[in-house]
Amino acid sequence: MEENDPNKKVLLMGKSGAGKTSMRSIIFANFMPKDTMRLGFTNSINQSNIRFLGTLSLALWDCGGQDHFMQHYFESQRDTLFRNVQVLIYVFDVHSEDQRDMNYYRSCVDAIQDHSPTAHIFVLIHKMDLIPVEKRDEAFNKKEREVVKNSAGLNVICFKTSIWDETLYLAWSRIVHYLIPNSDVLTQSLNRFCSACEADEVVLFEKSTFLVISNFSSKQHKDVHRFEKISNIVKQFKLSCSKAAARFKSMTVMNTNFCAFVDEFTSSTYIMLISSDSTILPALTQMNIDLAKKHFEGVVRASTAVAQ
Amino acid sequence: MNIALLGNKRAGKTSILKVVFQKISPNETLFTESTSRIEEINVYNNPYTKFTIIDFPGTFQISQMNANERKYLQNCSLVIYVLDAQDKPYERSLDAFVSILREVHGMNSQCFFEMFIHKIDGDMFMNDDVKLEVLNEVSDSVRLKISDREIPEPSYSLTSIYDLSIYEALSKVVQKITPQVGYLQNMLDVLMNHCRIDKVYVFDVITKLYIATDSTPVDLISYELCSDMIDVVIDVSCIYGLVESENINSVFDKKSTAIIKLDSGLTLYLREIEHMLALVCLVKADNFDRQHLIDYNIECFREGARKIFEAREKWIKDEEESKSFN
Ligand SMILES: Nc1nc2c(ncn2[C@@H]2O[C@H](COP(=O)(O)OP(=O)(O)OP(=O)(O)O)[C@@H](O)[C@H]2O)c(=O)[nH]1
Ligand SMILES: Nc1nc2c(ncn2[C@@H]2O[C@H](COP(=O)(O)OP(=O)(O)O)[C@@H](O)[C@H]2O)c(=O)[nH]1
Ligand SMILES: [Mg+2]
Repeated sequence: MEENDPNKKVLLMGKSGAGKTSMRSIIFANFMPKDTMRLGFTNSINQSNIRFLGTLSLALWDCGGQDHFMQHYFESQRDTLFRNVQVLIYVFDVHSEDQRDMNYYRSCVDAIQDHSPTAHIFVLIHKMDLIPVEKRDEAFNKKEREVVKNSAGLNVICFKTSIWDETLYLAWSRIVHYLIPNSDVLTQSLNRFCSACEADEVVLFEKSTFLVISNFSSKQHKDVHRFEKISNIVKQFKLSCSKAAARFKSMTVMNTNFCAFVDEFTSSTYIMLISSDSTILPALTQMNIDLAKKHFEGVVRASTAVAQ
Repeated sequence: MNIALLGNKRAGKTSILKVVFQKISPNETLFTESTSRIEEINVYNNPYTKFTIIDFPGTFQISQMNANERKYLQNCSLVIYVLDAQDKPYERSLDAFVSILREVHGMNSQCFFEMFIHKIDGDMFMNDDVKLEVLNEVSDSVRLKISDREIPEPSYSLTSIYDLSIYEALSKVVQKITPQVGYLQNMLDVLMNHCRIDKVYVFDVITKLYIATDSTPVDLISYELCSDMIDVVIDVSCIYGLVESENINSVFDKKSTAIIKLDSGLTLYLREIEHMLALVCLVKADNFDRQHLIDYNIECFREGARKIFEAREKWIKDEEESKSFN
């Protein structure tokens, strides 16, 4: 399998109870964070195929983390499981001090090295909400050092995550970014659109997950995690709408200092446009967004297209 | 206006106040300390949302009330009794409630009474039939106990801090003791008819209690949508609408407006009408074509509401002055 194959195999691994099924359910199956309390352990491997950005297809392998399953993965299933992997996501419960967990991680890295040497590896240090705010960096850095030590020199990216805040969206947005073949195309088009509208920034979100796909800013903003926060805010609201048997279409929010538009854009994306110039009429911006829809339909398709 | 909060130890009184007025998440209340003496919570978010809640300790017994406690109960407009629905049997709590009714009514005949049948959540109360059964059981039993006495019939609400029910119940309580509510409701009815709006609420943005609504019945679904919309507006404004060195209260300002469109053909429309006070309405998309007309009518409502509250403030002030004069 190549980088360009539209079918992307993503392995989700980690000790039982680490939170794998929880995060997958929130991102891809519209669970509320509190709904995850009812999840039971995953029996062996749960495979799901997820359509993403219209044409991409993620094969997400949620691998139940109980010891007897883990043993299977590294013995009888090693060749099939770790073959053709595009992305490996390993989840650590930040509280867990269990040495077996690190050994399992080590075995994953070895197996990936043997069977899918080009795979990207991400490590999520999860359940950060259980650690007091002022101790989070320290706990994360400690765990990260340990992970790097056990990664056999491979390039790994660590994130701190929790299902209770936007960190989950940050990590997963970065991860899916690696699965979009030509994401530059998108950024360039957004850049042009942003200047044409004289906007502060524009952001594209994937329609069903609300993960950030691409963005362009013409102005500095002090909050670097704002897009993930928006993902989280809108996704929660989408769920409230479904309780009322309706689907969220668009919103405009403003005060004296800004105007934000969030609107359905192409068939697989939502757009957010921020403007702080009060001389630009909202109706004009809305018209620009509507006019750009058709053009971007093609741009999004090009960004996910398989290169020849 | 004072509201007294009574009930057994661990019934959930302090948790209610923490969740609604201090924005603590429901899970965190698991570790609240028991309240050992009377605590006052002053709510003053804007001229329209202004009252005091008095949290009594669970050990309070009406038969042994001291002078201080008596003073509080004499001066309150409404008593809420919190009953722990997960703590059966209710017999003793209901007896305590009836004694409170009798005593407080004796010394403060204007006082309203409200019972929160609380903690109506979890596996025990999954379906609505069970909830209604508890409600009937409690209200029948109280009615029997007070049948031969001259005491007003209390109202009942099923509440839980894990959903919106506690907000709804408290909204109703606050409206019951706010004399202007009747006028506001009339004005909202007029607004609704003129602009072909389906439902309209006036929200205190900070607590998300609604302090007035039109006279059509409140359904929890529309209330929840509007309440969630306020969260969205505040959260998004905190990210993009905050210019350096301003405080969090200023994200909701004179120009705060939001429109959310749903595919069901419904549009949610929010406008600031006073400091930390929002008017939120649900309108069919077809009737939202003339937004300037709705805006104009909302402006009229804002003016009318302001006059009503000013008149009330003035009346209270005159009253106090004539008292001190005598
Ligand atoms: N506090 C907190 N709890 C979490 C978080 N993420 C998941 N949980 C909880 O952790 C528990 C286990 O989550 P699962 O997702 O079932 O764990 P898993 O990794 O899929 O476990 P296996 O399927 O057995 O491998 C659930 O009760 C979740 O509610 C988090 O970020 N913070
Ligand atoms: N299940 C459930 N528990 C609640 C609810 N409200 C409060 N509690 C719990 O009840 C316990 C006692 O609450 P507290 O506020 O200290 O009671 P107080 O003594 O009446 O002030 C706490 O552990 C709360 O978490 C509710 O609506 N549902
Ligand atoms: Mg699982």
